[in-house]
Amino acid sequence: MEYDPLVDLPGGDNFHDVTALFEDAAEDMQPGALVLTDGFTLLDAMSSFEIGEPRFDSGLALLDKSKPSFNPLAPLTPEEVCWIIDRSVSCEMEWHSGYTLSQSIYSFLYVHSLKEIDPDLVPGGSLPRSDSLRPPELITVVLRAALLGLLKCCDLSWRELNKGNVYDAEDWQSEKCDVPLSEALPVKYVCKALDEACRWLETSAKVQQPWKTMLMNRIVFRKSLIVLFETQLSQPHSGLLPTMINLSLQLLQPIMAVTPSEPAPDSPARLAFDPQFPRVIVSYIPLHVLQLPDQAHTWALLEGLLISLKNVNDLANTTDLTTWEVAGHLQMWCPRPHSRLPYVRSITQSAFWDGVLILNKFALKHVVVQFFRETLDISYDAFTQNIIARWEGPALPPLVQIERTMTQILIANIKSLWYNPPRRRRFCAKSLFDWHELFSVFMDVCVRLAPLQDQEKLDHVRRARVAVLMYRLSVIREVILSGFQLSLYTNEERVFAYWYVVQVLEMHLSCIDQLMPGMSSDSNAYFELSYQSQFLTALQSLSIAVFIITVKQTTFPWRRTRLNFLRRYKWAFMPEYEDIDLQPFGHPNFTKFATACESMQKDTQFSLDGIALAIEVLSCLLTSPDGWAGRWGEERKKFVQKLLDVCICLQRQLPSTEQALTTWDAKTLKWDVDVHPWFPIISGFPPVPSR
Amino acid sequence: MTEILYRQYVGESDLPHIMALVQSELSEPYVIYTYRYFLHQWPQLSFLAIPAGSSEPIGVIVCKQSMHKHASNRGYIAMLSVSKSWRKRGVASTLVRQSVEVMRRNGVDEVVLETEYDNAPALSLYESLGFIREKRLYRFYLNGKDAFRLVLAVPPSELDQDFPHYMKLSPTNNIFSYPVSSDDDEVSYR
Repeated sequence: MEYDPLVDLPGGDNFHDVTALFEDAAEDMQPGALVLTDGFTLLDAMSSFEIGEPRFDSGLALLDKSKPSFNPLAPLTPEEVCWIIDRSVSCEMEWHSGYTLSQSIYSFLYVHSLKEIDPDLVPGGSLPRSDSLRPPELITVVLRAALLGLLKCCDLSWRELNKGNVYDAEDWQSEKCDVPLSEALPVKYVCKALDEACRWLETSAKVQQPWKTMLMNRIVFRKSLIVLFETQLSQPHSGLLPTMINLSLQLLQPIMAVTPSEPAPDSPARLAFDPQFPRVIVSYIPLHVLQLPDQAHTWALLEGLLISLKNVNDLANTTDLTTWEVAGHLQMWCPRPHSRLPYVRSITQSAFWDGVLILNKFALKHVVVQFFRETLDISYDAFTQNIIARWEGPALPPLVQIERTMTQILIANIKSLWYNPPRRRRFCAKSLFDWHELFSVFMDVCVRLAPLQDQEKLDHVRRARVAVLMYRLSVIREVILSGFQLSLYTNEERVFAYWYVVQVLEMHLSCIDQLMPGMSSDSNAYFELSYQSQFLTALQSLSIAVFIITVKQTTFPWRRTRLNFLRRYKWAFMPEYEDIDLQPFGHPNFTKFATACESMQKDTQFSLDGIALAIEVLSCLLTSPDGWAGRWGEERKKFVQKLLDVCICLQRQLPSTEQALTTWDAKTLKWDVDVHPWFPIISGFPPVPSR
Repeated sequence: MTEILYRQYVGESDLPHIMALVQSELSEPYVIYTYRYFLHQWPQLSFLAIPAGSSEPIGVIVCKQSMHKHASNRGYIAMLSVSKSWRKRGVASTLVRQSVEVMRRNGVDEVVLETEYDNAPALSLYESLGFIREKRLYRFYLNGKDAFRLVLAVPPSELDQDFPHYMKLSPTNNIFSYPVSSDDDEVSYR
């Protein structure tokens, strides 16, 4: 109904002028004075707006008559409908990428016109005159079905994202602004609408080829997506998922192959999308207008999503937790394009732990059982029996506490591999205290055990303690190296990071040296330790080389460097550590670093042999047994190859003598995370992948 | 080269200039109350750079200072802007130093701000002043970009020998002090 400002003014027309009231109230205020209510926050300030100021007063947009108004029943050709459906998928993928619903889905105006295009609700005779090329059913049956399907997929995704595995206002945006996403409509209803759309397209003479097939492809694809998303939500371990994912991937191919052309500038299809429209919706988040990506990018993202779901399904059927860790680290350090949408990261975590069961079949104890089997090649029972048999402590041994703590730490560690990288780093830093607490419990237990009667046998409890320390050191390493991947470090901080990671790796390798003897040499646990030993040796050698190169080229403003060190590594100086008698292993020491720098800078012996050693070790690693990598063995080898390529490039380009170093420009070292997350390349000489 | 003078914010008369300087950098405008929130509560932390002989500021810094989580005295740089034609003269650097010095005299432990991960000039400026990128904030901005949280760890207060003489305090006239209350306002600003 038309709005008449004379008749329809909100609140009626019985206004009184109260300007004098405001003048009286402000009489004692000086010009420029400001009175703030108690607790007036920055958010309050930013949320205010100026009535009538077009940049802030979204209500003014309602009065903007400059654009032609959107008519949801304006007749459209099949090609136009096809184009609209495709662009609506672009909106959907932008939301999946992490933008708000208002920036994406709600800019698709049909979303707000569902009632108007419902064929059961359209009053007879109200449809605009159409021609044979623009049958009304294209909107009321086909487009409506596609729209319901889109909203249903958003609803199903929203419910997955809302589980809390990924973070609202960070990884994704939940704000719905009171706009329905067809939450109340059952999946069956939406699928029925899609089936009816298909039937109409199949049987109608009103739509010609190729549009008939193109539209049907989109409808059938959307139905497959709804079924897939619903199954992911309700039965994340369903055996039908691989078939469903493959079906959706297959159905996507012809859609990707042929794109409808852009509608004419004066086509009503163009009016279907208005990124400014959501300014009139009630929202807590200001609208930042987006440019929708092109269709090729949209399809690539959607294909990436489906392929990632395949990967998740493979993982969901993997009971070895170290394999989960390998896969998790690889997708963190070396992500495939379009593989880390928040929806996929949430599904992965849900598949691992749904709040009740591990991998939909195991009780919590599974994680601990697997820890002992996969790291030490022993049964958890052997470990607990060992403690019970040798226990000499006053009270009962803290087995329940150990199991509970290990369960919590291990589950959180795996889930967080699918956090966004900055959040994963913060999680790792915080978790170090929990690891240390666990380690100190193991130390206490060891002290209260009688010595082993048979000295030839392995001391499972001591070895478990070493394994826990080893895990902690690997988390410290991840915190250090992620600083490179997130581009956090200044030049001086990089030098420290390489030096520090060398110290941590030394301790880690020492742990491996303690664990490997006595282990069965054909067990996966042994192969995995052997793999790590080689990989970490190479990592250490390369880190030493880069430390040497960078330390010699850096001057340190020591006061500022130390202040920054205390801030950067504040996780190591948390007061909570003082509550535990045992000093933590592997924490950073600034004095030792300063001494090492001084010594290196004076040292005229210069050698980059470390790079040669890294190359040798990594080359052998490419043909070593895979350990626990499982299906991710090949991918892990590719990561090793990537590191090897960087080593070879550096060996070729870095100066090899002290003299050459004095004239070498350190600025040629560039850290580019697209090439390698942790190590530099020489600018102008990127690594050439070896055949 | 024209000399540039620096002074603190004095009142509403400065506000239109500040808004014009800051708005020119941003794609989305700030409501006037956003500026007033900072300028009225922490006027001593806001500085303007004005070329000698002119009345038009060409640079501005707007900040706040409060107790963070009841534990640390934290300064926050909310806005920093220098007119394009006056860049590369150390104006931004001086504005930051001026404000941080006032914060330091009021017991600041750390100074923080956020900036877009690809804002190379800002990152370079703050790194030269001793800031580090403490954390990366995933998709911090509505355009989807990450931010860096930058932090300057401030050493315990000492007499600064380089402090300009006209800004030195007499023991009884502490013109820079203002209450540093606890601030539960955790919303970070661009």
